[in-house]
Amino acid sequence: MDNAIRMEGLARHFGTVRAVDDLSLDVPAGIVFGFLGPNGSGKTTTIRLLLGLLEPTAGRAEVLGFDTRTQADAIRERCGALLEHPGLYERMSAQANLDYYGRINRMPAAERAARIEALLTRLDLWERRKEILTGWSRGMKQKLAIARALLHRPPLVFLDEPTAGLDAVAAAALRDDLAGLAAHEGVTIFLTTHNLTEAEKLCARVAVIREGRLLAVGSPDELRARAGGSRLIITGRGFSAEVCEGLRRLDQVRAVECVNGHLAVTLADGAEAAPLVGLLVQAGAQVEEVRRDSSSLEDVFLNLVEAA
Amino acid sequence: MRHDIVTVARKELWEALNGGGGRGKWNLLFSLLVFGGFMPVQMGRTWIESPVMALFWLWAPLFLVIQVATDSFAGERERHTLETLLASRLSDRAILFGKLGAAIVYGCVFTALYMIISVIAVNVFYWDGQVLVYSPAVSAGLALVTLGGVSLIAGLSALVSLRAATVKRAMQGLMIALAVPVMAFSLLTFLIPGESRDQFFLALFSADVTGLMFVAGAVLLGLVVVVVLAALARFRRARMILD
Repeated sequence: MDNAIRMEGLARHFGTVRAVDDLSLDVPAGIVFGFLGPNGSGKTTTIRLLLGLLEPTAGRAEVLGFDTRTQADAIRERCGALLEHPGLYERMSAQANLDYYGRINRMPAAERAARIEALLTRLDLWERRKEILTGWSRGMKQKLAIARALLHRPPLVFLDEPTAGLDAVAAAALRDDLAGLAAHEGVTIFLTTHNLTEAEKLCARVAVIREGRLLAVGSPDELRARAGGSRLIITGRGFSAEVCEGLRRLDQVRAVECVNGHLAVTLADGAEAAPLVGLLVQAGAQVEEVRRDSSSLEDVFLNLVEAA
Repeated sequence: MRHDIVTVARKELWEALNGGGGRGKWNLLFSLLVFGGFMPVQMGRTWIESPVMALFWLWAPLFLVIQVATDSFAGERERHTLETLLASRLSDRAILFGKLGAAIVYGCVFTALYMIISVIAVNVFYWDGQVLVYSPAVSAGLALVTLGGVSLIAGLSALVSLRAATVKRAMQGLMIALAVPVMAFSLLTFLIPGESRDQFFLALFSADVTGLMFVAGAVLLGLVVVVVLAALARFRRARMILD
């Protein structure tokens, strides 16, 4: 299967609010896919639609080849999920929580026990398996909820803001665990987040949505290239006002800024850097270094969201 | 589906007994001592000789069932575990019947235990050389009424709990639902002429109680079917999440 998830014009409206609006998107199988958007942008609603927990107002979606409207049971059988809340039974022990979901997923007793031990050991929770969860930190609960989502070896896992509410150290540790688990288990992970660093570190592809609409999709490198690839940072000497003015008059240049001896040149679409450097040298400037400005995914995200 | 129902029911029963930091077990033990020991000893041999007495005290297990059944959906919603459960592979029926089954088993087992304890207590405290027990017909009638009553209350509680935001709201909704037939009955007896009312109560109290128990049990089980069908119709994952 090429795509684990396919959405075609997917929409969900709540009265006049368009939580998800005409969303068309493919998620390739076997990768960590980041679904980015500010709070209230429709990320959680999209997951609910993909799990067949909500009926779409319009459009359709397929998950692992099954239609979300008519084959939701088959989808839920093959997916793991960490939703908005960890969804753990706090009066039960960590082991009992996993055992319950192992039974729900009809795992044989021996396989269930071995899998629980393997997951809890990998997540450093094995020693505390018999504790009830009321005294656990949020980070530990999140880790346990992720273990539950992976328990029955689903080919697709939905993680709704897995590091939300965690402190920086706990979030980084959880990210490492997640990356390790994803690589080790080889599953498709559909991860929603508004943490751009997290997406940048974990995701092979990302999609950005706002107010339910898709703004961009691609790998983090592709998105950065789209947003920041047309900007050159040139270091050197002799960047006089005349040189700058000469550059501004060129068709392939949109903007020129001279900051702290650096020249920041925004190129027009499709413009090449080499001819421009040649022109600068001809005009008497001494060029020491030319590099393309690599925007962070955060810059890309903010630009996209603000432009929308 | 049976495996799924048993899985859900086992977990529900575990929570009923171990909820509130293990208070569930102590509450149950206390109730058994009061309704199986203290009350029968106060009543004496009448407790067993008159099946009306046993019927009257059936409200006790019903209240225990209300606690378990209202917690079934509203409690999970309140503790943010419902959506994860609904996102699992379990079917609607497996979830509903598992939760209902747990409440019914809880209520019936408690009733059986407190009936057994009460018979032992009455015999110990009022021994007259003969073992005093319920007749087979009364036992069967009580079992039927217990099953019907417990199942109906469990069904109603689950029905209300399906869409209630919190356990407290579910309890309130259920109390209102239960108050309606009681109020209607009181109003009816108030409105009908005094002579007819007297005749009705005379007929009721002089009737064969054992026979009435079978009729009541059958009626209750009929109502259970209606309530369970209503709960199945009301079980909509989307609504349960959004509510």
